[in-house]
Amino acid sequence: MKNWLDKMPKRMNWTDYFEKAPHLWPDIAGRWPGFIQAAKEKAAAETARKGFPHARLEAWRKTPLNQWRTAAVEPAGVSRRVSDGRLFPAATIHIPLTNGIPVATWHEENSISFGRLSEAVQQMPEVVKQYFGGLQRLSDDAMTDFNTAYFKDGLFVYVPEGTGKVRLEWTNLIDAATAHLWNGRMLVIVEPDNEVEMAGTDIAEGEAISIGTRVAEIFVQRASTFRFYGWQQLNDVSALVGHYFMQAADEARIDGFNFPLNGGLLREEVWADITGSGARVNLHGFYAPAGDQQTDERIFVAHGAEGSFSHQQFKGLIDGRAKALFNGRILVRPGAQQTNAYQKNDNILLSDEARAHSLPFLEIYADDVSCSHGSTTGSLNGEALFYMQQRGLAPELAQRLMLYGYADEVIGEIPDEELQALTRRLVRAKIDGRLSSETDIFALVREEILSPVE
Amino acid sequence: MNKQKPLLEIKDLHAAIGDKEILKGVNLRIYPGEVHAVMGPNGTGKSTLAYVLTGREGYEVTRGEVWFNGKNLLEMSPDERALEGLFLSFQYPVEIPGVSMTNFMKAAIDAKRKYHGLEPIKPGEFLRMYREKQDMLGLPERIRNRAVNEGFSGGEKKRNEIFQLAMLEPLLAILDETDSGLDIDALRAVAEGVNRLRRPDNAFLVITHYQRLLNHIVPDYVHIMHDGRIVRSGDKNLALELEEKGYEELARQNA
Repeated sequence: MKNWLDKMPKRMNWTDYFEKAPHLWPDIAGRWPGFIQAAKEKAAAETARKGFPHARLEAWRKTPLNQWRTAAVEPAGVSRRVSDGRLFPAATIHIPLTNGIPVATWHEENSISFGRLSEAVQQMPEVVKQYFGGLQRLSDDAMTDFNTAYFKDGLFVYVPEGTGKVRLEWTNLIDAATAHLWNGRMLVIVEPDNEVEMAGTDIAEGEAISIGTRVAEIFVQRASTFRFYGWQQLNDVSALVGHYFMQAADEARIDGFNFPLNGGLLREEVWADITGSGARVNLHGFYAPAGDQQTDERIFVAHGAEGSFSHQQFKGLIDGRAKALFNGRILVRPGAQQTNAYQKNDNILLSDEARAHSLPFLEIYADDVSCSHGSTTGSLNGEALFYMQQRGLAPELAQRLMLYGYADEVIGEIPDEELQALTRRLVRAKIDGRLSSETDIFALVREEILSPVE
Repeated sequence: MNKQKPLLEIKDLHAAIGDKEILKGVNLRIYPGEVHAVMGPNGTGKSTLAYVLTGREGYEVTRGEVWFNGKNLLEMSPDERALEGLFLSFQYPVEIPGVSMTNFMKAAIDAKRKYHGLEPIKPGEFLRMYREKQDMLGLPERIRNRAVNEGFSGGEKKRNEIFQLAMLEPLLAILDETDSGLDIDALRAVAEGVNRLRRPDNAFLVITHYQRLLNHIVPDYVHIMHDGRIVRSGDKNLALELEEKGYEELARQNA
């Protein structure tokens, strides 16, 4: 699979990659087996047909990409840089990625297999063939086609039935030494009766523009739990557009926590497809864009079986000229009776120029269901501030306590106490203005553990 | 006459919200150890007086002076006033999601200690005091360490105000309609709590609509407020007279 990238033009605008995708065939085909090559070829055609996302598309209406559409970037090459930074102390498996691709080679450990997707197609061809591309069709976003056309490799994780508790962490180093484009891919298969926790950090090193796309497909089978945690720490000229497709089978449980820290545009789109009865999906996030940053949380939960449950809890704190988008959608398919689904989004604006867009959407095709949603956007509660000041707290302290408390409503939902404490430190640092895009978050966490707050 | 210096001295206080003048010349003097009650119908400026004294935004003092413990109260920020020893038991206590009562109280006590040049309170000592005061006020178990006022019933919120009063030991506590929305048992519990907190060096200003709270917290002085002024002052019997005759009658007598 060596260096198909070399044949491509050194640098192009991001939009050009969309238009030229079919013409770059067979360069972008790589040495993948037929079914992946076919998917890539089709995706290249779709990428060009749909073109670069524009503001008239509902999915991109509130997300201007102007800053990146004409950015000249080259495809990410092979980087030797690795991050050994870690945020999930309980993880027994640590997988460093660079520009979305695992650094180490194929690994089998206590029946779990993980490594590069390009190795998985050799090691477990049937498994990859069965699952690859099975979920991404939920979205027709050109970004997912783009990712499919251009991805070079990705992360593959396979947890066979009855393995039990698995805790793993990946740290994706985005080598932002030069302006580049990277496309990460993930395929995670959690077979029945497992409890898998996966933490992932995206971290950019360097000051150049990086544009990243990610398509993750995660299958959570019968009576398994999949819990994921995400933190993103990019520079302010970089963008990351991630699609996370997940499928929950009978009695499966998915818990997600996302904490965008810094980055020009951090966009997370989660598709939770509930296909099994009694499945539970809980998705949480706390975002705090400042300056000119933008965060997008697009959360789609589809209930397709009886007696399933979902909860979306997303809160934001928006400062400076920053923008935040929450687009939460609940779909109850015909026949998905006894669905329980609810959704809550709150935004606090800390400046006059900060913007929050909260777009809830419920689509219900079954009659015996319980669904609700709520959304608030406002400034800090002045009454509460006065109340606290009346007890002797200086306004800055009162505000900080309130904002800490506000964020804690999300952070407090994290079941792992260590992870909870550590996320609290990161988020509080961001609230206090001590966590910029230049901050070494791993050092910050280490430092704060040595001198704990409170 | 009282030979001490007054704890609070209000001289000809006028205050407005926007163009609307609410307080039209209030005069009041409170000495340490006293309990004063301010009574009056709705809209006469009782709560406005409480908010002006504590420095809430949106009220403009247009004339007059307020001296608290020898200092010019109106020059201080709301938190400074609190640190100097002024406490308001809110008519409508605010819910603060995500901020636990313990963290809130610890921060408040430490702010006060810092203001007086003391080190932060030791966690063990704090918790002992926290439990002791909760026991003293018979705070229900379910509200003992929740987020501030979150999910509390009306009565629980009022009790929680008195609990904070007990924790912060202010020089002057203003109780703004603390009796509203309380059933008789809760009313008695709140009143008992207040009575236990009475000391020779502190004072209370009880704002109330009805006389019934004053059966339990017996005032030294009762003031009747009407149209932004204190129109009559007397001892506790004035409250009883008021209960009998009503505000209209008393106001007419005064005019």
